[in-house]
Amino acid sequence: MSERPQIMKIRGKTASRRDQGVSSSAAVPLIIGLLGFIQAMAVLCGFLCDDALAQSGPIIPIHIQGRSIEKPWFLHDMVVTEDKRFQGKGRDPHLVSPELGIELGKVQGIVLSICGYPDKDPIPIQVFWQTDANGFREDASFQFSIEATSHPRNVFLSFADTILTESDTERLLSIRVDWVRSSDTIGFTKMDVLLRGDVLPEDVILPVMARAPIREIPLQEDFLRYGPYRIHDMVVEDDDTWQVNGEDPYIETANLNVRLKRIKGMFLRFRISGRENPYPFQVFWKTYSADYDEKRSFWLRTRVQDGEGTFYIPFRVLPADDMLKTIRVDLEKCPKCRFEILEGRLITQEDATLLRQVPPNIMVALGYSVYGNGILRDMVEKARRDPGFLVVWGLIVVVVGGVTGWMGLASRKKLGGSS
Amino acid sequence: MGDRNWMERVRNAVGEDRAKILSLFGVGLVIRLVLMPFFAHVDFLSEYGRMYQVVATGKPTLYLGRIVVVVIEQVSLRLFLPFLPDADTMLRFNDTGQATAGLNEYFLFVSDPHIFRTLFLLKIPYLLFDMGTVWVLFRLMAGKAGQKTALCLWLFNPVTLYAFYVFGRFESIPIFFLSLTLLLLQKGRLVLSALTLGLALNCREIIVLYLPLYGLSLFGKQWNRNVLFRRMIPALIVLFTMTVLPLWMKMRFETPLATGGGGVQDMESAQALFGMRFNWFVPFVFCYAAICLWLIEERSRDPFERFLTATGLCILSFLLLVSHSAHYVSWMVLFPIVGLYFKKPILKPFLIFCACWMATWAILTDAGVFTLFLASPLSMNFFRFKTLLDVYETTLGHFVPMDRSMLIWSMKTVYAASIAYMMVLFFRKPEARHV
Repeated sequence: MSERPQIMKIRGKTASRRDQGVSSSAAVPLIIGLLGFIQAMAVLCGFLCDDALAQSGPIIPIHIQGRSIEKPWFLHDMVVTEDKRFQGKGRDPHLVSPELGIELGKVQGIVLSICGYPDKDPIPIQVFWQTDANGFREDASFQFSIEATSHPRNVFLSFADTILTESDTERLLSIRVDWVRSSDTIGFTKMDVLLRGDVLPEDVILPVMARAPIREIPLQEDFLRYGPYRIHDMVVEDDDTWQVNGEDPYIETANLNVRLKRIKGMFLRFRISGRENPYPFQVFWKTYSADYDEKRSFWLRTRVQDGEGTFYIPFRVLPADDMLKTIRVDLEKCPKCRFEILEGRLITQEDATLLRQVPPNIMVALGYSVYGNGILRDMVEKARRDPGFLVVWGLIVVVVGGVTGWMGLASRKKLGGSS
Repeated sequence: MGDRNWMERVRNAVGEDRAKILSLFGVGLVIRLVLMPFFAHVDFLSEYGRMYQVVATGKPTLYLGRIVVVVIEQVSLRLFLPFLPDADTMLRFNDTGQATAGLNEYFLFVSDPHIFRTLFLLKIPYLLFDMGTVWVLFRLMAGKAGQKTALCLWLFNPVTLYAFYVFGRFESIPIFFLSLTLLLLQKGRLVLSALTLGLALNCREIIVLYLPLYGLSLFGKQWNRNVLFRRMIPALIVLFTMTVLPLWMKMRFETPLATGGGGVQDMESAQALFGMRFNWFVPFVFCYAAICLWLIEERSRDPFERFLTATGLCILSFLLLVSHSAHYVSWMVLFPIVGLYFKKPILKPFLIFCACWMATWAILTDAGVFTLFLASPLSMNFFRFKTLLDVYETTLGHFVPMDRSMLIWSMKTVYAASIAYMMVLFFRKPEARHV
């Protein structure tokens, strides 16, 4: 009931305007103005909403065993030139493919058809890939250069020997192609994904690699499976033990190249001569983003019985996404020592037996402190490991506090009574 | 009813004032107990690391200038060793020639699961001597209007709480002996006071500065042949013996140093005193000379007041010009507090000084200051906590034309001004203020 009069009123208004003679010629500039406004907004949006427009990027065909994916690629800091090439227009020009969704284990490699201007020879390019398990990572990328020609060159990048799958079901999601020089103009016309068993096209070239992706090695527990230990300031004796003969004796593993998230820690069983007990050690670790560092190393003392000792170091504090390169064990203050590693292992499954072999003074939480943000966790961890003290100390504080409170109460009551 | 009667009986037995003081004491004790297990500077490890070497090797080592502290710490270490299962890994230095702990030893120390109990137990002697000072102040100020104020200032001042329980230093031991010296001087027991001053001297090198002042203080208005021969000369002989005896013992009895190395020599030498960060050394010499002249000239007061005033001014002028470490300031806290005995108007300047001390060291925060819950072995930068200086530089620093260095020196100057203010009121007779 209440709406009807309004409608009638509006109708009434419209009727009255028409009656007043608003001609169609007057509406034309209004419509033109409106269209102009919309166009101006669109141009403005072109400046402001670059990313939004970038979503609807150019279509670069992707061929997989005769199937073709023709979906737009995502453009970042790039523009398409008149001759359909891609020109860098920003600090980080790159293209990202649409979702591929192919099982990574089946992929043999990719072929990129690329051409550039001969005067800008050679063309440096970096290619990343993304899977279910990992995003685009610097250490897992191809960085290469190709000769710039006016016609496309088919560049083959092999995945089969390079990428270690996290699981059988891990999928290759997308490929990202970066212009290393931000102002380059490069033609990129198609991408072929070759699966295992596909025949490599005859015209493909293997690019000159500036840096190949770091090759992950399938996890081996025994350090020796990666290669022999390297020693420093030590000499090998007849019985395959090492004799310290310098100021800075240490043992270093061969390149491990293991993602830290795959492992829990390291275990060492050794034989050592000398009078120190417990023996001091310093254990360093190196990844592709962090070199050996005093601050991040583990200091420990390990008790030895009958010349033999063991220790387990949990790697909880190491950056899980990084790739462990090598581990170094320094012998501290052990001149003329004879040292032998009986067993050195990477640990994938922690158990109670191993955790009992964490040296008492190597604090898991210590590393958290070094990395920051973990002070309270540090304290809780320490307190948890010495509950007996905590109980006794708590009782003392409570008793002293209680007696004090009682005395205070008593004197206050006395005051109240006397007043 | 029974409870109430019992409460009443205790209250009557203790007395109302004493009940209040006991409750103050209890609050102070709780604060100390809470702080004890969770903080330590690397110096704490260095100290007990040296003691552990002596205990472990069985070689007696006399650290000149600290013999009394060494004995006390060794006794307590031997007492508590059965409760410290990881002592060998925690307190043993890698190198037996080391006199101070290095970074790796400190990491091992703070990361041990028994760290909290170790700190708590090994700080107990510091707590006992600290509480001993409370008792001395209680006795010394008995019947005085400022007794409760004095006890409050001692129990709750941030300087000594920090020095003894956060930094974890043994300064409470020499301070206790100094307070005992003052008490004995107040009671006219010169020989015993010389003995306790001698004990203090063998706890801390800085006390050597007080010896001439003590000698001059004795020659007061009551100077006569009887006093000279029966009290003053024996006192000076005792003090001289206490000063020289350790040197002789060291030469005569000490086996080769357990630790060896030059670090120990540096540590036990009074030279360390002059190796501090003096902002300006000459004015201290001037002040010291002026204090000696004042002692020679002004002999109308008794030895207690003269010694208190002279030593107080001496250490205040020293700290006015030295900004070496935050915990050294604990050396002077006793004197203004005892100054309340003479109704010196010291409360306000003391509180201002405490505020300035906290602000200055919050600005000057570095590797050796305000160690956070044992988690900051070297620098707070490890933990991504910004220091106040960093915060200043990233916020106000853009708008205020005062750089890092200027800010530090400004704070040091304000801090020095607060000490100078206290010196003036400490020296001035309270009557003069009213006049």
